[in-house]
Amino acid sequence: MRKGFFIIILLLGIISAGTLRAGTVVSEEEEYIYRKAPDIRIDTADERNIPLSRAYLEKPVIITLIYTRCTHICYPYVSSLKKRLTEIGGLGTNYRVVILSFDPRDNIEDMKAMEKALGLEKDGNWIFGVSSQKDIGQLMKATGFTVNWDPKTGEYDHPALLIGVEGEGRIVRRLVGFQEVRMLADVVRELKGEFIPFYSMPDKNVLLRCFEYDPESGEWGFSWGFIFIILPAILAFSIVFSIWAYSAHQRFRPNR
Amino acid sequence: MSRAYRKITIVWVLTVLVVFAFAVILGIFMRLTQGNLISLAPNRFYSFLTAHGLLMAGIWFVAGMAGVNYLLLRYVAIPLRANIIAYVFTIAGVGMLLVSTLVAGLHPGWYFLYPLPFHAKVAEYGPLLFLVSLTVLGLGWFIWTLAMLVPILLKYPLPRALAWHHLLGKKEPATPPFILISTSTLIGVVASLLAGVMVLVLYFIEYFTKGSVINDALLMKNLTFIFGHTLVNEMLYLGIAVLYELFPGFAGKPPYKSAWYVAAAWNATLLIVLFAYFHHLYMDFVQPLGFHLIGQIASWLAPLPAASVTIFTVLITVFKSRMQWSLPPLLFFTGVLFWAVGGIGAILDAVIVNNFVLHNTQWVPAHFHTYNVLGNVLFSLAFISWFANEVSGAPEKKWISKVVLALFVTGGLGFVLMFYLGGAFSVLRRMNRYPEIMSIGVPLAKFAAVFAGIYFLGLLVYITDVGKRCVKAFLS
Repeated sequence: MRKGFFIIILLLGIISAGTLRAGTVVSEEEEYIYRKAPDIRIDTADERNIPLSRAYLEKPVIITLIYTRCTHICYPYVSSLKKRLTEIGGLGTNYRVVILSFDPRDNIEDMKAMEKALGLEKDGNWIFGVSSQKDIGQLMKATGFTVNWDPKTGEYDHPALLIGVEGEGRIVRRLVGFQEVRMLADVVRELKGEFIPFYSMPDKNVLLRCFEYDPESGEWGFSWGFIFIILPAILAFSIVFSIWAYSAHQRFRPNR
Repeated sequence: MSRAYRKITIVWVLTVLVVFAFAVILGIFMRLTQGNLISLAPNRFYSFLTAHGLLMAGIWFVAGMAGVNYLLLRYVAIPLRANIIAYVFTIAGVGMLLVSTLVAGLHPGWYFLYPLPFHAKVAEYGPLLFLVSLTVLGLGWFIWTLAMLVPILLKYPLPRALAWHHLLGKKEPATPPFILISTSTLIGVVASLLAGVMVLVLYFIEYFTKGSVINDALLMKNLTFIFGHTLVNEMLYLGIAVLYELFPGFAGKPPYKSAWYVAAAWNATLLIVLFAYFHHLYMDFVQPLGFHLIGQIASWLAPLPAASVTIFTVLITVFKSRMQWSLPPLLFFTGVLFWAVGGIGAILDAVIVNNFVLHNTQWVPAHFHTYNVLGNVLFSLAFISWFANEVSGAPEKKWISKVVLALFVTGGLGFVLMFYLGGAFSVLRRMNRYPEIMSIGVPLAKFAAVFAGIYFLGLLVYITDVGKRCVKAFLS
């Protein structure tokens, strides 16, 4: 009785531990990738009312959405992107970068000023542009980019978002936040057409998992679910050895 | 042999043949659709695919079990009740499976990979009925497996049942190869069915918590293939066990003995077959590379001991023998030949670098249809033919042997050849219609349907002959 209770507690412990250790990082990337990016019209420093497709049909593009009056992440983000893409290489050869403003107050002059401030005005592989409110809304919806206007600070609350769009206009990556060089390099490789393994992060309600992956360290380890993979063989051999032990016991039991 | 055992085996035989014919018809409908000769709605096509695959795996498993059960009675007493329970559960399970797929329209494919059963556009009761049908089938088979394994181990201590003493060079007490192979196979069946229990329990948890608890797709895939892959491997070995027991008799030779290499082969097979399923997860890059390597090595090793020893044994038996080439030995011999061909196809596919090219192509159905349609199925049909001869006391007519074998080989060979050609041309598997880029798949499917028709014709001749004699024996 006590043994049975202990086993039940142990099993519940295993299951609950597995549940607790189930992933805490939820990515929404898979909800948006492999869908077509809307072919919105944009104004750039050189041209007016051109389709976004003109950019990605020539070369795959990395798109990011910013606003020029931002006092928080927009400038550091684009600056960081510039630095890291330089480290990775391939800009202009394999892909280009499109920086679009989501702020209706921004005009092309504001974008030119930002381009200059970041030292990108002479680099033709960086395209700074604006679009109509309606078109930007379409792009934001298609990429899951949301902003909130904070009247107290007079600023937009928004994430740093990077979208990889391949040559046929499909969104192949969607990264949120400042990214390590390794992650950006994967986006660039994917835009070149290389196969980059992708696996959705498990839901927080996942009962048991075979392995745990730590995105910080990039290391993996066994999780409780792995026991289930070896359990059928262990149980089968346990049953067989039990029958054998029982039959041996029966065979050698003295006749009464 | 009790009359009751003969009768229940006759019932198994007739059921297997009827369900086989039905499943072949489903398969022909699928190939006709792929050949643009008829038009099945996509979901209907996939519900046919689901029913066809699961019915085939299920009936050839029970056919192997029925054969082993019948022949095991020469060595140990097996409770008839377990056999009857297995039959009732099988009929109930197959009935529910057919309703869930063909009536409710469930179409997750015969691997029913998680979470597909929950995402099918289907009548509401479909997924639950499907899971219950698998549970009922698994439960019945688990009881049946233990009902055979326990008497073996009660009579033969485990080291003797697995012929470990033969490995050490001892010749006595002799372990019949049939006992060795049956034991090794039934242990594997127990492991696979336990994996099936686990995967079903996890499915039920998700179903009844209405998705508030969900499963890890990788864990579910591992468990599904420990269950499915191991079970279909073991069902082949059930057929081999029957071959070891019956084949020497056709050549007028004494029963086989468990030489050390036979013992080594089947003990190795027992262990290795449990790891071979990893080759189904090569595409799952989140699984550590080491597991894929284990899968590749185990896939190479798994067929080698059993197949090489069996092929060697069969050839030695036939060589300079007075073999009476009636239908059973013909089917056994042909089965071994194509088992080897299909096995080579499987090994090629299990090489990681090849798998990246072949995995989703028709090479996959090509290899498993080869060692099933022309291998395992022929082993079981050989047993059934032998059994019909024994219970009816009347051997099949010579012309029937010739016609049946010719139709099976012509139809089967042409049928699998179309799959191999499809694989060579990178035609994707599991597609109801072929787009322009793989239009070569359309004529191949048409030819395949014709060849399947030829095979089916052979089956009808076979069923008519065997069925008539079995029904007569049942009624007498």
